[in-house]
Amino acid sequence: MENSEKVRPDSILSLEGISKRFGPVWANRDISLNISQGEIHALLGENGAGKSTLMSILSGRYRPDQGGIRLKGKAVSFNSPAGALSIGIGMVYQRFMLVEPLSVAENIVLGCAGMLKSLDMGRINSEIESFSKEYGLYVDPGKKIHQLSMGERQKVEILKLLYRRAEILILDEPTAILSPPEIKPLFETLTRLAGAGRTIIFISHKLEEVMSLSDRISIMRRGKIIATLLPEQIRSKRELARLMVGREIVLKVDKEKVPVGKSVFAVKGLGSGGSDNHIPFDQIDLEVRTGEILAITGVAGNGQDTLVACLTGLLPFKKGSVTYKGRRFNSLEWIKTAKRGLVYIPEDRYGTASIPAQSLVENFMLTRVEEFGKGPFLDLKGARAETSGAIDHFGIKTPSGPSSKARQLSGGNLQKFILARELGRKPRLIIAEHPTQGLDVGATEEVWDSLLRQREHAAVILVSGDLKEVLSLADRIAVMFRGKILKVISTSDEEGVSQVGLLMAGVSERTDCGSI
Amino acid sequence: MVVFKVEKKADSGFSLIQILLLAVIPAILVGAVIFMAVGANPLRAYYIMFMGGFGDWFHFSEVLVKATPLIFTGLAVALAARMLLWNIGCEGQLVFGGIFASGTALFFQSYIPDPLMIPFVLLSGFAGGAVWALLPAILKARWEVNEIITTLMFNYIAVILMEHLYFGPWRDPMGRGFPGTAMFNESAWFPRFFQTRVHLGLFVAIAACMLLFVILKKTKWGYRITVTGNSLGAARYSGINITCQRIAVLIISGGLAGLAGTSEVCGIHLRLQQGLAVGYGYDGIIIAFLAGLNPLAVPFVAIILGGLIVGGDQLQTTLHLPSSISLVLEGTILLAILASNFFSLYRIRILRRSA
Repeated sequence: MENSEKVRPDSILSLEGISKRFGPVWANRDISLNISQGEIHALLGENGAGKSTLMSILSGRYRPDQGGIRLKGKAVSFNSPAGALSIGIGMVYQRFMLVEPLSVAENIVLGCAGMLKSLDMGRINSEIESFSKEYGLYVDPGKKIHQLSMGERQKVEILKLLYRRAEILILDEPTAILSPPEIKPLFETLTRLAGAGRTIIFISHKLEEVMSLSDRISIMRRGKIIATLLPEQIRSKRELARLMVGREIVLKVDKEKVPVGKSVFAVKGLGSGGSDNHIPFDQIDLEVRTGEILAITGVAGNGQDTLVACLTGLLPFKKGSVTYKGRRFNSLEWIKTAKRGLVYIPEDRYGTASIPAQSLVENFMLTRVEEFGKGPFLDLKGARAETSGAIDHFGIKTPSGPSSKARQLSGGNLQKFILARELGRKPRLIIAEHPTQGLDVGATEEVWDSLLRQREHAAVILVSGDLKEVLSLADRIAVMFRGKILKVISTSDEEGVSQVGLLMAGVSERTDCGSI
Repeated sequence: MVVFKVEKKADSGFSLIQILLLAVIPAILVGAVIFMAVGANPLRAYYIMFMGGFGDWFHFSEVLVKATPLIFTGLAVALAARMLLWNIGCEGQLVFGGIFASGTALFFQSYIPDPLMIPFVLLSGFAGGAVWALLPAILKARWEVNEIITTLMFNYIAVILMEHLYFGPWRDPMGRGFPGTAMFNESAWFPRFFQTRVHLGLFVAIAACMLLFVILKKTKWGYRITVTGNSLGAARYSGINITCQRIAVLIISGGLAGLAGTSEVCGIHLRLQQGLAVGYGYDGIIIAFLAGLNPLAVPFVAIILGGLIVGGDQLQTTLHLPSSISLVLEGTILLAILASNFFSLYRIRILRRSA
């Protein structure tokens, strides 16, 4: 692979040997990159490749452990987003930083009102409008943020940066929250901005976007930039995807064969319908049997979150039906049944699966309160005994036993505690969502072991974007892209498994024919 | 150059000593300044207030009488606040409890046997408060309508409705123009004790505190309330029906405030009359937060506040100061609590930095 990375004379921004470590993990390792003025530079990579960390360093949220940044040839350092912005580097985060009850104009001047002579909203409005017209970013300055669509909010975020005279604009997955018709105008805006001499860096998972928009593409994998390419150097999307995913050596865990039993859970034609806050999915058919782990995988933001919410009865679905233990349910019936029937291990350990401010005993009862005590009364002694037992059995490290508060536990120990609680319910169906996210190697292994052991009596649905995890645990892998399951692949099918990375990037055999 | 930095504390908490140091003592000092401003010796004023409330058994019994409705309203606010619901409408619910209890006492005496009258009056008073909390509860639970606004607005409606009743259709024809209903039949009077005005309401109130404590600590339902108050996300995940919980808790909260009105009309006034809505509902907010939302602490805090009110009246008779000075003290305490709440969550660190 040719590398077009060479020091350009006109580079406006240079990263020199940037490294950043979180505990034992190198999120970024020795990254050097030169970006020239007026360039649209794409940063491509899997979840956890280190893209967001790198951009957070560039925008002042983190400080690098090693390395430096040069802006127009001069070494710069800053330790806050405001600091970065003051020298012209601004970022649009995936989660917008807007004050909802305030108007567009108020949000735009927020934080720089001190720099203005007076708060003349009329002048501010006309200034915003001139930016709007110039770059195709029209938003009514008088509207309140909560009245705006996601696409309009994004425009406000971009306007905010322009208003603060940002020269370099970083966008973190700008299209993730947009509906398809909103994407094209955004690209036009970005092209116009680049034409006017502003520099754009954008993070993406989506190959097509990257190919059509960017001047150069940097691909990150495991904390490093492994290639920086011009679009014409890339022969096919498949090649780009392979670079992005890499040929990972799959660490096989000791996975004994377990006889596959009856079908426990199936969904047919499931669809979420449209909603503003959730990425929709449609036409989902899945089935999982006792003794089997079915993985649902995909790049974040392709509808997995919404699908899980519907499978676990937290959200109603609009189309299709669910079959559980041989009985069919419509959406309303399933919402009632799901909470009692299945075990759900959510992604959000602190806000959903546990109550940080309460003791482990109280947390242990969260999903099992009916087991402790007859009638209306609680059997706190019984709950305490069970909690102690679970802490010992799962080897959970706590500061003061069952009385410890949930928030005092480390992520790995809390996850083990949640597993202890949920698996103790002897479930027939388990839905585990990103169960090892943020955990160290040791805790990850323990979580994997517990999930594998559940196959003896349960069917497991594993939702994860971590390919290593999926390939290590699953019997079958369903790849989700833009709200649909592209394909379900058995892990014993080696040819099929090699396609998983490509499928995650939206490349299926039918659409990929070597050219773009 | 001295630089201050405000940091979030790792552990947030409210100990009794903290409340005393940060809320009560500053409030007393501010009160002293006010006494001096109106030309009174603060030490003498505080002495008169204390003796007026706690000086002898008779004065103390009056404190208990004042504390009775305050326990109910304090409990009502505390219960709702445990689920992060702000019931500012205790005043209106108290009034409605009074209206329902009066209605039962006035118009159903011929249908209800005398010995059963008091249980019926209590039940109907509870129901009155609950009914008045029901609409705000449904609005909140189903459509997230802010309960602070709705419950507050409902207070005004309730008061006007009550005035309409005792000025209009329910007015005592023999009352010679006095705004109030006829006196209840004796079967509806709460028994009084110890040759004072201390009445049954006090014991019902204390029993309610203990019952609620047991419910919150020892039952599954209490556990669910606590979970919902601590984390909506976890509550939803564990399958708690948040809509139903919110409605149930708000109407019980309303019912407790209704009992405050009941105990006032059947224990003290013995009729529905002007002077029922004197702010006990709002005092409940102060009591609930001073008590740290703990039902068992509510009676003690209510007695302290009752002492403040009764002692304030003594200032008027002895020193000829306006009795509303006790309201000023009350307000000062509340502000001091709010301020001290900041210190329970944050600490201020002094960083020294050479410029």
